[in-house]
Amino acid sequence: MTEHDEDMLSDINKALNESVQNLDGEIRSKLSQTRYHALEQNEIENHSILFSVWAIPLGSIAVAAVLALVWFINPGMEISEKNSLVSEQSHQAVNGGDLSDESLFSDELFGEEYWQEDPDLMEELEFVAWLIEDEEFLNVEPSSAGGVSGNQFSG
Amino acid sequence: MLVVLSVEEDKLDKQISLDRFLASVEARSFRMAEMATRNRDDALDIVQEAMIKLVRKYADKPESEWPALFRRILQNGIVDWHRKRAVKNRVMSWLGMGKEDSADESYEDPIQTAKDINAKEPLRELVKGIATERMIEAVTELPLRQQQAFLLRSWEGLNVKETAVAMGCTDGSVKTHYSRAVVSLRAKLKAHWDVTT
Repeated sequence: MTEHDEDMLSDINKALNESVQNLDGEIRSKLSQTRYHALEQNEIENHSILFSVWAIPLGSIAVAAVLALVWFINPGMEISEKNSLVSEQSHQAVNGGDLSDESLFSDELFGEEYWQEDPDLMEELEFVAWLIEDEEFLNVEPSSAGGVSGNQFSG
Repeated sequence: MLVVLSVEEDKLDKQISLDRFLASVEARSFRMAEMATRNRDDALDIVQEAMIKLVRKYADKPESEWPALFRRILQNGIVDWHRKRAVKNRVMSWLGMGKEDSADESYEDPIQTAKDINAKEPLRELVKGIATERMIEAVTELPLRQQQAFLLRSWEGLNVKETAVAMGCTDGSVKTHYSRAVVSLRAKLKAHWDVTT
């Protein structure tokens, strides 16, 4: 290769470098988009590979967690059954127009366990029952009752 | 969990490295593809396909191997484009729907498109600009394999072996293509050279 050739090649390289530097904005933008698109493809592929690798262990863990949750919740099923009974009876009472104390505090709803759980309420109810009895006693006619009427105390 | 995090970190590092590498080669690659196809959209498609192929198939290879791999993919893409075009032209000419032209030859008449070198330019800079344009045109007009050999050897600065790997041919072929390219360029640019120097 002659010196003339080397000069010529050097000039051609310079011209090619200039042409690369002078690429217009549109092409540069398109090239960037192309690059991002290629990298995006890689990312999607990576995610799918990662998913396929972790899918089985993650799926197993998820199933185990759900089963454990169900197992822990299971003892609480009685409570939820009781709650559903309460709500059902309340619903019936409201719909049937039966809103008396007896219906709300019936033994069907609140069995012995319930009273044992809340003794204060039991005492209050005893007090209410005593008041009702006392009121009935006070409302009774003196002649039929044959005793002291409530009016005597008030008067 | 730590293993997952470190894997994710590695992948992110790789993505950044790939982005940096592709950004460094995209403009030159586009220019090469454009000179080979003489069509901007086709050149962009070739570059995009090369990028996607590198990222999908060879992202896990060591970073030092990426340039050679990318060059090989790009040159294969260019050759494939020429093959498809040649087949298409043959089919079209057989059907009588188009004119046949060789993918390796220029699709424009060089005499018609050649700049008038004897035109008297008032400014030397303008003459230089035209000379630059003419040089690129001369490279563009080279037959494909000569053009590839010339650009890889002279512009990219690869040695004969690396060029042979990129082109998928023997060292001897590279030498032949390159020397023919130089002779051709010398002949084409002689007049310009004499005017500008």
